[in-house]
Amino acid sequence: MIMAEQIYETVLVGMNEYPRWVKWKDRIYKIEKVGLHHTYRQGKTLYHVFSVASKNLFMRLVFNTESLGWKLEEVENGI
Amino acid sequence: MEFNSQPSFNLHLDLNSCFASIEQQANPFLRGKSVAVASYPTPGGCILAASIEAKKVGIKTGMRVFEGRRFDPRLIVLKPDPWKYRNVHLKLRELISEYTNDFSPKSIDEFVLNLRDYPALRNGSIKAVGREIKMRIKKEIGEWLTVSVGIAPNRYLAKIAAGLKKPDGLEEINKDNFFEVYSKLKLTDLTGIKTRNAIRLNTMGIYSVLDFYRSPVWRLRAAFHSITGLYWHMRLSGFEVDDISSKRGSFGNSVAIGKNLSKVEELAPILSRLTEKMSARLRSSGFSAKGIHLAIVYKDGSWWHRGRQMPRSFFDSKDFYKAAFKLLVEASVRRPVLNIAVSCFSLEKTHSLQLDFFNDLAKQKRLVEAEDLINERWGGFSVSSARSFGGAAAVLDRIAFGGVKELEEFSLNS
Repeated sequence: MIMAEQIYETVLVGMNEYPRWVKWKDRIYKIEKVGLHHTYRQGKTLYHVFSVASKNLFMRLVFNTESLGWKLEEVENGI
Repeated sequence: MEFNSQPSFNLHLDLNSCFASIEQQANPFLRGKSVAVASYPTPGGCILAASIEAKKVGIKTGMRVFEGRRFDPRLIVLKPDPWKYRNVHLKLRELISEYTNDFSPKSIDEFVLNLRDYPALRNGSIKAVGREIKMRIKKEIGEWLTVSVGIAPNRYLAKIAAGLKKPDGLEEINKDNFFEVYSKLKLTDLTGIKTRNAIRLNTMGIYSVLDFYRSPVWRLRAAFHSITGLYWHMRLSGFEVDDISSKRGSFGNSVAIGKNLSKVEELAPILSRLTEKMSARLRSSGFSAKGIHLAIVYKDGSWWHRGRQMPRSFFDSKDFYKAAFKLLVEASVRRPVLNIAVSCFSLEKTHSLQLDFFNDLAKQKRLVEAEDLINERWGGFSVSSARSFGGAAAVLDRIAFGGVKELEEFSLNS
């Protein structure tokens, strides 16, 4: 069963063209797959959204190009 | 009329199970599972797209979530994420534009390309181009995305060809195989022929697609009571009659209401938010409008609508709201409303303002422009009427079904 959780937490993301790892709640998750990269604007601010999967988790990572900060907006277990 | 003997230059591209496939592309854990994107994830929510796996067990677009769960209790239901779908649409548009600039989006997930005289056809057949586009979509946009490609001498038959094999098809209708294709189709398999038109054709002794194709023009004109009969004859003979671009005649927004709302004071904030959305889009396209229209569909299936011409051209959300509110009062709403839609028509380009004896329109325009600038900088509805905040939860960002004009309005580069 897939359990989805909407959250809004600051995370650290290791980037090399695409996100390679995410540090969330003192744990590092290696990104196994980038499903989709898309963007949207809220006002003039451009956001990059990376839908990514670690071994067991789906994560929605959002990068704010104005504040240069990352937010983890959604987590789902993939079991 | 003989079938068009020209080679096929039209390629119709249809992204299979669009919203659901994009969600599966984004989240690999959803792949291979029954997934539906619904207007709301609640049991009464309407399914907007079902994944290929969900379709295999009988789940269809337009079903309610609870109906879908009868077919598959494990059905995963997601809310729509319009920007995901718009991004994929823009990526598809970019990829297609490498082959031809004579293409038009027919909806968020459908494109029609005219490849006549384009270099793409110099190095291979149109089928090879279709195969290459399919492969590049998987490689460059998403490996889970499949498209059905239809090829034909005209746009209409290219669309029919795209529907022959779903998902992931690549089919052509041409002078060599049209007879065989037509013999396998029912009248109602043809886009634009539903029960009513089928009955019209039946009354003239036309019961199959082959009968339809073979019928003389006079019989088709008699069936449709208009020149439409000739157009159908040309379409089925492979000649182009649908290469027309329509001019925008209106702007509108609508919402399906989940709760049971049946009072004017409950509907007014929703109407206010809708008119603000509508008029902001109108202004950003450089128009004002002289006409307003309100349509209400009730949960019991009945409906009401009324349009009105206004004394002058409006551009301000407040003026549109006042006019729409008058219509809402005239509707005498007493039953729960399912859907409310507001639109404006009689569009005028906003080059200059006609002087108004009682209002300082130039001042009003400057104020509205300032509001628009703030909303553009900080996001829609940063500044809006207090009244419309009550409608914010009901009026969400959505993609209009089959709406082509909306696709012209969005871009990520502004």
